[in-house]
Amino acid sequence: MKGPAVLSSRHGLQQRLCWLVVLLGVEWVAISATVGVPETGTGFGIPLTASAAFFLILGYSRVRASLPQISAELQSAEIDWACLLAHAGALLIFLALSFPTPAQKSSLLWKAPRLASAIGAIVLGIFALIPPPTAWRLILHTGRSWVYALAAGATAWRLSPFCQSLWNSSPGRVLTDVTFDFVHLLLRNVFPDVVADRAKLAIGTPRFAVEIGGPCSGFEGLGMILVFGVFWLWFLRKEIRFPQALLSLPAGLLLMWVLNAVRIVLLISIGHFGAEKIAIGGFHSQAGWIAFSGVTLAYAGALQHFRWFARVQSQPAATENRAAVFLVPFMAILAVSLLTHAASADFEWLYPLRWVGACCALWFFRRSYKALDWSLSWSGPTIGVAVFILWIALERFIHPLTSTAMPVALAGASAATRTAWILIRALAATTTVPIAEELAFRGFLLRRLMAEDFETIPLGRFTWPALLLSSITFGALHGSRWVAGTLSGLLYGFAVARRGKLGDAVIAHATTNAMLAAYVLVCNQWQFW
Amino acid sequence: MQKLIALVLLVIGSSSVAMASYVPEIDPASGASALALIAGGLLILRSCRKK
Repeated sequence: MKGPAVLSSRHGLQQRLCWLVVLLGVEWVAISATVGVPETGTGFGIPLTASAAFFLILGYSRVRASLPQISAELQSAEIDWACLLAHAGALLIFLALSFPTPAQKSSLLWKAPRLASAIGAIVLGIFALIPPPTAWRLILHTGRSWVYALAAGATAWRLSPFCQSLWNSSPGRVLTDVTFDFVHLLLRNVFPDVVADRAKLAIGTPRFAVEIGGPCSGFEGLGMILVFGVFWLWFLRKEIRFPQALLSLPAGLLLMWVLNAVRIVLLISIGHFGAEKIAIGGFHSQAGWIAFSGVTLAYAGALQHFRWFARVQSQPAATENRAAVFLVPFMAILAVSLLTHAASADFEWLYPLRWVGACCALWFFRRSYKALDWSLSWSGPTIGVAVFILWIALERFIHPLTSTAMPVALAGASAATRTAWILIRALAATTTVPIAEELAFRGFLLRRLMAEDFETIPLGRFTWPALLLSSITFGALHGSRWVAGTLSGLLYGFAVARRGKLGDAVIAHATTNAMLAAYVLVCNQWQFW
Repeated sequence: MQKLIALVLLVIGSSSVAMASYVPEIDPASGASALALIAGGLLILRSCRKK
């Protein structure tokens, strides 16, 4: 029997960074479970995160050229166990200082050593895996990136409330008025009676009206498109024509602004026709993401496909897009779930549409899937059972009090409706979801992280960074259950690696989901659905 | 100069994005799904360009 194929197991920079992420991640989870989420202090979270993001982007672009050499040097460096021990000591001091008396809580004499022990633990953890001289060289290679990053983070932090205030204050009133007038114009074409109060920014119909507050203005959507647009222009800089490509930026912003006005009109229309709960509880919270996803993909598609923008032309439509074969079923589930959430109030009655969407995508690419080897072995169900046990155990450890009864809406429905919904929910969990997720994560992402032409990597081959990153991504999509999701991703990865057959991961995943479905229904543990 | 303009635009954009934490339209629970959808779409777009 052939064992799992692991590529490049020596400890280069990439592997060490992966282990560092795992080490700090596991410790973060353990600390969060023990003393709650550590606070960064009032208002420091946003500038710190923004600065870190800018530093990573700017620093990486500067340090990229020297990474292979640094990584090669690290291959021969030993892990510093003394540093790792000191890291554990600093962590213990941090934990010991994490249970203050009420008097200590606001005292600087308590806060300063606690903060110092946390920073010390992180630094010592880094030094354990990356020797201080190498870490220092890495920092030196980033040049003045940290200055720009700090300045950019602090500016973004200070500008944020200003941007938000623009909606209601005089300097930004132009955009406010134009948006309000555009919404008014669109509404007048839909409804004969439109109620509008410009001073209060209230608009609607006699049956349903909304007040467009600053947080609902759509400014953040424009900001997100601006960030994505600048990044994507930079990313494609060698493949697109300048200066005309720069026009895509205002075009994207304009499209987002128009869609924002359409969103407000649709919100009012849904409420007007009697579905106030759906308008407020569903559509209101989903429409932003739907618009942003649509504009982002349209923007990227236009830059790549329009000859006026693109230097490099896309493949002819007749050529099969292999990434689509692996990704579209999963994307169909995600896209339909955004729509079904938008059309739901408190309970997702339209969940069966996710199953329909995935079935359509799988049917569309059915010929491509026939070429994959779907033979099964005993290891799939075994790993599936192990993941189920792990999932339940972690749930009990991390969220011991979250068990919930059947949703009220479902319990109140007729027996036929309830049974049909539960059957399709269980059917989706055991068929389309495992197939779509395994195609996307183990079939595509795991291999795509190793090579751009992912199909040159046989199924079952993996590198630790690729397996870890694809599992973390898989875990991130499971929300608060990200730890269980990440560990499950690792185990499903091993299921594929054992024989190089995707079917093993699919059957493992289906087994887990089938057992979870049974657990939900038999033990009344609806929090898992 | 181009880098400076790009950085300024990024900062302005980030400032608006930072508001998203207070905004009901940008539901964090749907964020992961939407970002995965966008990432998948971008990967498909990238894979259909001529090598």
